[in-house]
Amino acid sequence: MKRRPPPSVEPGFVEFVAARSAALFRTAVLIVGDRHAAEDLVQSALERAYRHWGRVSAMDAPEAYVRRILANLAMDHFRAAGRRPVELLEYDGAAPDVYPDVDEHDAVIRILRELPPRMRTVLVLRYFDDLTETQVAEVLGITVGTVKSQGARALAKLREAMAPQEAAEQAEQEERTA
Amino acid sequence: MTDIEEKLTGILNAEADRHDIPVFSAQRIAENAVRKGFWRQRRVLLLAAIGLAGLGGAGGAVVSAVSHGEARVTVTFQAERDQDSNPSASSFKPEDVRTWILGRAKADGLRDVEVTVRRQPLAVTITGRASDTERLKMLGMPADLFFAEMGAYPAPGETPLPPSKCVEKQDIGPDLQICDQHGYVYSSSGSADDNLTAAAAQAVHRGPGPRDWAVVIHLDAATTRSYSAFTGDRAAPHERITVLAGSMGLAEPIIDGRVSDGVIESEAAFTEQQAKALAVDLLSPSPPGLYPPLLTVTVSPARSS
Repeated sequence: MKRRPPPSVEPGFVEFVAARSAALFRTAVLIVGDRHAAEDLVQSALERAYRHWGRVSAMDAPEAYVRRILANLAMDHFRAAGRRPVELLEYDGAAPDVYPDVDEHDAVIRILRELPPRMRTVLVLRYFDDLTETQVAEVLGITVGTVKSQGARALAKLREAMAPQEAAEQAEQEERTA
Repeated sequence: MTDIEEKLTGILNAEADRHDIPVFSAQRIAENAVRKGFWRQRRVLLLAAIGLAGLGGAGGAVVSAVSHGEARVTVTFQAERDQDSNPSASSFKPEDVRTWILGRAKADGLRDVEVTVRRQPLAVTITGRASDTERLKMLGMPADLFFAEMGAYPAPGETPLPPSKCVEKQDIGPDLQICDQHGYVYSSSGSADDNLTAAAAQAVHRGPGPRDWAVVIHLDAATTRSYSAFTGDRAAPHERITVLAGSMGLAEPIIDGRVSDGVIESEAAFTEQQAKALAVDLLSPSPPGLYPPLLTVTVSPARSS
């Protein structure tokens, strides 16, 4: 039986971690809503990728593979954590909120956290990672049709929740132009 | 993009910016990957010993007999302190672990192996021939066998991997990999003893020579359904796939339709010892225990009594 000796770290993997770990973390923190959980998920995903690095590095899109692992680990995380909504946490970043409307930001994030995990993941992969519906389907192992319906339902929930706010903004704009 | 979609994109980016990016060490990740791959799942034989107590400390010398004329080494496995572990000491049976290790050593063809399992501090020592050092160190590594559809790579329109790459990548880890003739790789998310009901070495009398043994594995019901779906989804007739166990090629069956009996027979390419060792590896019982704390492994010359 051929045994695998402990490997030295391959330079390609070092480069991959340096180049992509930040982006993976940003995706993970949006999906799970918790910095520490996101860090653990990215760590675990990269560990799994490293065990298959010879194969992964030969792929045309290694990050897609790692993102898929990350998404699956996130689903496992949710199953273990139960179905309760993820709470908003204190932020650790030094960067201020750059979104002009803080209230709208918080409202959307609150809605995002209340979405079912898969629906939330679809939104993050589509509108943060800018993946196509087909790419999202491949990452999550679901059909394109499911991606479309999950995305549409999620956007409908956002639109419905933001409708009173949008109505108020429209009224304000009309008042200014009157 | 609609207004709501644009808003969502902006908000997600702003939200992501509010978190400091942690530093991920490739070195640390690689080390953890190797250790967790070594000790992964309940099947890993020494998991029962080291996963049940987050004990640290050094030491653990083992006095062993000296075989006639050949140098011997002692490989010591110790747990690093893990404050988060919550071991269940009641399920820790040193004799069971010792028996399991000796069984694996015999199946691997290792001779003159002695094993000591100590509770306080927790340590497992394996003494054997110096010429077997690397095999002694890796004695606990199982040949995990599992599969499930991962998705087709590369994406349509992109250059597929040559089929040979699927088999030749020896550092793919102990997973069972199934590749089709276009190099698309499917891997799984389970361990062998979670997926198999039986594995046996089988002599295949095709002619003279030492490599006339095969390994026949029987998948459990759930895995049979997965494999059936996988084989039933093959687009082209007479498509050859590759089945790997650990770093060794196991089978290259030609798929001519759905395979529903859950039986995979390897190539007749093993010696009797290899086939029996592989069968043992694939079906090794799952020792009790939790996911382990990090493990240290030291190798030293064996001391005589």
